[in-house]
Amino acid sequence: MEKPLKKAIELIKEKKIKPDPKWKHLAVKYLIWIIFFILIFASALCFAVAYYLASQLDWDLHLYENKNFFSDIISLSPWIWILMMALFLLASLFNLRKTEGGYRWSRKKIALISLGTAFVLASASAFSGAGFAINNAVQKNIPSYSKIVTTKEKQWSRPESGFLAGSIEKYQKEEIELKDFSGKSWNVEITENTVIRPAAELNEDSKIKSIGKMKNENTFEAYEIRPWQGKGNFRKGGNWHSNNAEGRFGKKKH
Amino acid sequence: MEGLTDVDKKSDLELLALAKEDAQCFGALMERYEKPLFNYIQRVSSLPREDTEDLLQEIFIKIYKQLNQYPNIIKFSSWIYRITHNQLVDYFRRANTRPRTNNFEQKEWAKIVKENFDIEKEIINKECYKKISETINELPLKYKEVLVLRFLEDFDYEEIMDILKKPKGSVATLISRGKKILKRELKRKGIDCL
Repeated sequence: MEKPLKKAIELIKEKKIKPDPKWKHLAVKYLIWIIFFILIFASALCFAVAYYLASQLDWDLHLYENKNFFSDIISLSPWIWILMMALFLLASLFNLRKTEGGYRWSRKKIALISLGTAFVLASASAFSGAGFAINNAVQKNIPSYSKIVTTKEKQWSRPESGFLAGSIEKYQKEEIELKDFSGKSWNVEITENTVIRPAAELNEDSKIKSIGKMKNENTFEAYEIRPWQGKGNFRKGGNWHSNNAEGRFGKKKH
Repeated sequence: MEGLTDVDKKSDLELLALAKEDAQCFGALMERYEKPLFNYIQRVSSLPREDTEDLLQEIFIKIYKQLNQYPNIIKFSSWIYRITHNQLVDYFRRANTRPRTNNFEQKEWAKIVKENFDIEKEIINKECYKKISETINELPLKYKEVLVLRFLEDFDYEEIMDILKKPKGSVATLISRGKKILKRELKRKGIDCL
């Protein structure tokens, strides 16, 4: 029974084999943890972008399009970012198993560590404006990105469906000259029935959104005008200053 | 060679510290494991004696190279068996062969798992030992290995978890399934010594 051990010792001496240095082992060990944090951080950033995109969208437009809320969720959700977030999270779970004592932890504990870390980082990323910065960078550098993701600009660049947005070039009592995001100019007609939300500022260079009807290639009849940010229901110290507070959309459906 | 005095009185970890500097101390440490590892490899792999010795020699060299990687969170013996397990898996992968396996289908596995009985105590019966060992030998590697570690090498669940680097629940499942398959095989072969 001495044979294998004796031979091994002889071989170790003959070939002057030495134990591998400790730093190699430590490097691998720390690399696994670094990969874990990179994956978690990546998933947190994906969450931040998904949150940013979702928070920018107007989720009540299905009421004006005769669509139901569920189909709106399906079509508007930033699936690509949610999917990437899920993939990074899943990879981090597998990675955690590969750490030195990872196999000892239950699935529940591993999921808690991963999700907990991701949640903290995701919250920090979402509030730090990382979502906005990443979304803008991707939008600028990847032309096909806007085809995959529904942005607020895309949601409000559908005059044929009744949704138009852009910057005010000129404002007169019954008409707004508006430049949309593609640079096209529109005459937006304001009637006595048009609801102008309190926070909508009708000044030159202000960005607004409008729900209405496309009358021809350059004319859009506004049923409702909102500020670019939010629904614009409230303004500090102010109330509705619409031509008609109930307006054409007093009961939303039209 | 200073470290070789009172070898018997030194713990595995004391010898491990000396072994990093002196191959002779490594030899003294591995002497404690040579026979158990040889038996373990034979039980799990059913390799001929010469092949087992060659494999064991490779394992000793591997252990020596990895001396600085011993993780303090597990027992030294578990770590030695872990390296042996990994080398065994590598060996079968390299040789593109497998230890003998049976023909159970997935459906049958699931069916067996649903049944529940405990042979842990029964296996202590020495008269059954040889017959059970022979039957274990015919099981697929993953079940055979876990049963060998539990019942023949006397490792507890925690140690098997550290050897196989699998969560405790997975180890328990493997043992439970292995036991059921074993019981079934014993019944099928008409071995009525339990």
